[in-house]
Amino acid sequence: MLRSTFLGYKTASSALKVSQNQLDVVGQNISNVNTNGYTRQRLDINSVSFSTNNLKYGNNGVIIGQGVDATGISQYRDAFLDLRYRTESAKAGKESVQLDALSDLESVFDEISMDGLDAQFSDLVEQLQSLTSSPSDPVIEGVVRTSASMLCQLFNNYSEQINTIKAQQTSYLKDGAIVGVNQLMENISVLNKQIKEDNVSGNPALELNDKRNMLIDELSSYLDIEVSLNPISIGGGRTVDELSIKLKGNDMDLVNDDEFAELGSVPNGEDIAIRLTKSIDASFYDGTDGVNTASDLTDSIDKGQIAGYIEFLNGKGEFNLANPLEVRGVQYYESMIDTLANKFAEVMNDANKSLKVDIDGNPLKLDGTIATLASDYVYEDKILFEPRTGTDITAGNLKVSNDWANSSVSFITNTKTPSISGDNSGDTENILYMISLFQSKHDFTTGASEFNGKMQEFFSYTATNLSLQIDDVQKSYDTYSETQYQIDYSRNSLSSVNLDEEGVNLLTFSKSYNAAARLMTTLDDMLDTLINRMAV
Amino acid sequence: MRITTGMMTNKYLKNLNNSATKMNYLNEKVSTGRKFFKGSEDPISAIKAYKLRREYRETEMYDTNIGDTDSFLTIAETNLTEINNNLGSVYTSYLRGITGTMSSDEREIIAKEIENIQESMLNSLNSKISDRYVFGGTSKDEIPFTVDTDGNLLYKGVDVTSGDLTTLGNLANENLHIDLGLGMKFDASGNLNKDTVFDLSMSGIKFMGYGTTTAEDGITEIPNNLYSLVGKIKDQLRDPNFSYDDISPYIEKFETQKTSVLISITDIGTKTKYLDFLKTRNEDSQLSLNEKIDSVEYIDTADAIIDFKMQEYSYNAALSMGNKILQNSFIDFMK
Repeated sequence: MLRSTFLGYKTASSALKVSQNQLDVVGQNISNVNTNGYTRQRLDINSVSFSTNNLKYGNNGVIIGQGVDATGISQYRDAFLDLRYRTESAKAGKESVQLDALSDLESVFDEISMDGLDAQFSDLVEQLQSLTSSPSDPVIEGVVRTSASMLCQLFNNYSEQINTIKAQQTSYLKDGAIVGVNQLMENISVLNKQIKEDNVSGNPALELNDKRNMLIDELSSYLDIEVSLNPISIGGGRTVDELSIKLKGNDMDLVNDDEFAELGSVPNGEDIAIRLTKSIDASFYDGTDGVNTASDLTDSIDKGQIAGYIEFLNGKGEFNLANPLEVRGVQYYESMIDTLANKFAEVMNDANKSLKVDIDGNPLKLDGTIATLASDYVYEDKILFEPRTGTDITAGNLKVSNDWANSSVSFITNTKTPSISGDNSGDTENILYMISLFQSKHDFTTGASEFNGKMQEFFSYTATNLSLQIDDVQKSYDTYSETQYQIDYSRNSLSSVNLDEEGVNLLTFSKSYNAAARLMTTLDDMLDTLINRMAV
Repeated sequence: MRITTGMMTNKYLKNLNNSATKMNYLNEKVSTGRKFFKGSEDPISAIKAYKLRREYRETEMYDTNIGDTDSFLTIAETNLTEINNNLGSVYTSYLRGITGTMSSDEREIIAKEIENIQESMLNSLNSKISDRYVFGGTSKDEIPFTVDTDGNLLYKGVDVTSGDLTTLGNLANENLHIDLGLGMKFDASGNLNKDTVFDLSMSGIKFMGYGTTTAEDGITEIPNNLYSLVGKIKDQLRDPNFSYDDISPYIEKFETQKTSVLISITDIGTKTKYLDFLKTRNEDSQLSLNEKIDSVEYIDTADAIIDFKMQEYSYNAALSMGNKILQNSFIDFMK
C-alpha cells in the first residue's frame, strides 16, 4: 500500500503530546506527594493505528501504527480496600468512644492510686471500733458521725461526677458527633452534585473524588455505612455514577446523589435516642416529630462512634430486666453505686433501731405497758441516714440524718438488750453488731442478677467490672485500629505517591519526549533528501 | 509490597510514638515504684490489691483494739493488786491479832484503820480508764459502787448483800466485748457468738462476792462481799458486847473469800498472755500482708530500671533511624 508523504509527522507529534501529558501527570503526582487523601494518577494511553474497515478494497500491504493517544486520566484505587477500611473504621470508632468514656468513668471508680469510698468505709469501721472503747460518748460518736458524713459526701461526689460524665458524653454526641455527621452528609451530597456535573461534561474530577472519599472515610468512623455507585445513562451510550450512602442493614438513604438526610439526638426517658430530623424519603420521616417510628434509628446503629455514645449512655447491663445481656454503660455503674448507698443506709438504719424503754429503763410493750418477755420488746427507728430529697436513698442524695446531725447526746444505739440494773451505756454489743455488718455478707439485687458479699466487696466488684470492661474494650480497640491501620497501609501502598517511581517516570518520559522529537527531525531529514536533494 | 515515602514516614512516626508512650509509662513505673496505676491496666492484680488493702486496714484496727484492751487489763491488774494488798494488810496487820481480851480502845484503833482501808478499796473499785469503770461492767455514766446512808454497799443500785440474787448473778456475769480479729460473728437473729470476740468485762462483784452465807449456827447471815464483810468486822469491833466467838465466823469467811481476788489477778494474767499471743499473731499477719501488697502492687526496682533502659535504647535507635529513612530519594541522584 502506498504511504503518504507526511504520514510520520502525525505519529511523532502524538508521541510528543502524550509524553508531555505524561510529564504533566508526573508533575501533578510529585506536587501532591504530601497531600492528604491524594490518589496517584496515571495517563491512560493507547497506541493508534488506522482502521481499514471502511476501505472500499481489500488491503494486502503493511499496516503500521500511527502513534499514540491519551484517552483519559485515572486513579490507582481499589474499591474493595475502601470497603474494608470503612467497616473497620466503624468498629474502631465505636470502641474508641467507649474507651474514652469508660476511662473517664474509671477515674471516678478506680481507687488504685488514691483513697476513695473503699478506704472511707474502712475509716468508718475504724471509728466504730474506737467507739467500742468509749461507747455512748457523744465526742467519739461525733468522730463516727464525721466519718459517716464523709462517706455520704463521697457517695454524693461519685454520683455527681458520674452525672458530669454523662452530661459531657451527651453533649459530645449532640454537639460533636451528630453535628459532624450531618455536616459530612451535606458536604458529600454537594460533592456528589459537582462530580456528577463534571462527569457529564467529560471531566473525571479525580481531585473531587479524592475529597469525597476522605469525607466518606470520616463518615464511616461515625456510622457503619454502605456506599453504592449507581450508573445512570446520560444518552449517547454514556453513563455517569450517582453515589448513595445507607446505614448498613437499613434500606433508607442517608445520602442520595445531591440529597441528604439529617440526624438528631433526643432524650428518651433516661436514654438518648437518635432520630431522623430530615429525611430524603418522606415515608421514614415526614417532618412531624415522634409520629413515625421508622425515624428512630437508635437500634439500627450498632457500629461507629455514634453507637459508642449510645451504648455508653444507654447501657444498663443487668439492670435492663428485658435484656440483661445489654452492654454495661454509665447507667449500669450509676445503678450499682445507688444500690450500694441504698443497702448501706438500710442496714445501718436497721442496726440503729433502739429498744423502747420507760424512764427507768424498763422495756415496754407496743401498748406502753412493761414487757417481761423478749418477744414483746418494741424497737423504734433512730434513723442514721436519710435521703436529701425524695424517699428512695441513692448515692446522690444520701446524707447523715438531721436527727443524728443535730443530736447533742449519744445517738448510736450501743445495746438492744435492756439493762439488768442501772447504767448500761458502756455496753458495746450493738456497736459490734454494726461493725459486723461491714464484715458480713449481704444480698445485693442488681437488676436481673444477685451479688452476695460484703459492702466493700460490692464496691470493688463494681470497680473491677469497670476495669475488666475497659481492658476488654481496649483490646478490641487495639485490634480494630491495628486492622484499620493495616488496611490503610495497603491502600497507601496502592494509592500514594512514591518519589522514586516518579523520578524514574520523569526520566522515562523526558527520554521518550526526546525520542519523539528525534523522530520528527529524522522525518524532516528524510523529506529534505526527498524534496531538495533529488535532482529533477 | 510497594512502599511509598508517605507510608515510611507515617509508620515511622507511629512506631516512634508507641516507643515514646512505652518509655513514658516505664518512667512512671520507675519513679513511683508501682506496677500499675489504674485498675484497667491489670484488673486481676487490682482485685487482689483491693482485698489485701482491706485486710491490712483491719489488722491496723485490731492493733489499736489490742493495745486498748491491754492497757485496760493493766489498769485492772494494778487496782486488783491494790485491793488484794489492802485485804492482805487488813488480815495480817489487824485481824490476825484480834483476841477476845482486847480493850475497846484497842478495838477502836483497828476499826478506824479498817474504815480507811474500806474507803481506799471503794476508790479502787470505782477506778476508771478513759471514762469507763474498770470493774463496772457495762456502766459508764454512773458510778458502779456506791454506799447508801446505812453503810450498805450497792452495785449499780442493787444491794450486794441483800439484793436479788438473780439480778446480782446477771450483773456479775455481764459481758463487755471487743473485736480483736477473732472473726466476730452474729447469727441470723443478731445474736453475738461470744467465742468470736474478746470479753474484757471485770464485774467488781464477781471477785468481791455478793449475797450471804449462813453461818454454822444456822442463824447468822454472813455477807459474801469482802467490802461488806470488812464492814461487819468493823461493826463487831465497835460492838460494846464484843466477843471473839461473835467475830470469828466473819474473819474465817474473810480468809476464804479473799482468795477470789487472787484468782481474778491470775485470770488477768492469763488474759494478758492470750493478748500477747493475739498481738504477735496480728503483727505477723500485718507483715505477711505487707509483703503480699508489695508483690502485687509494687515493682522490683532493678527489673523496672532494666526495662526502662531497654526501652530508652530502642527509642534512641528509632530516633537515629529517622534521619536515615527520611533521607534521599531517586530524585536527589538525577542529573
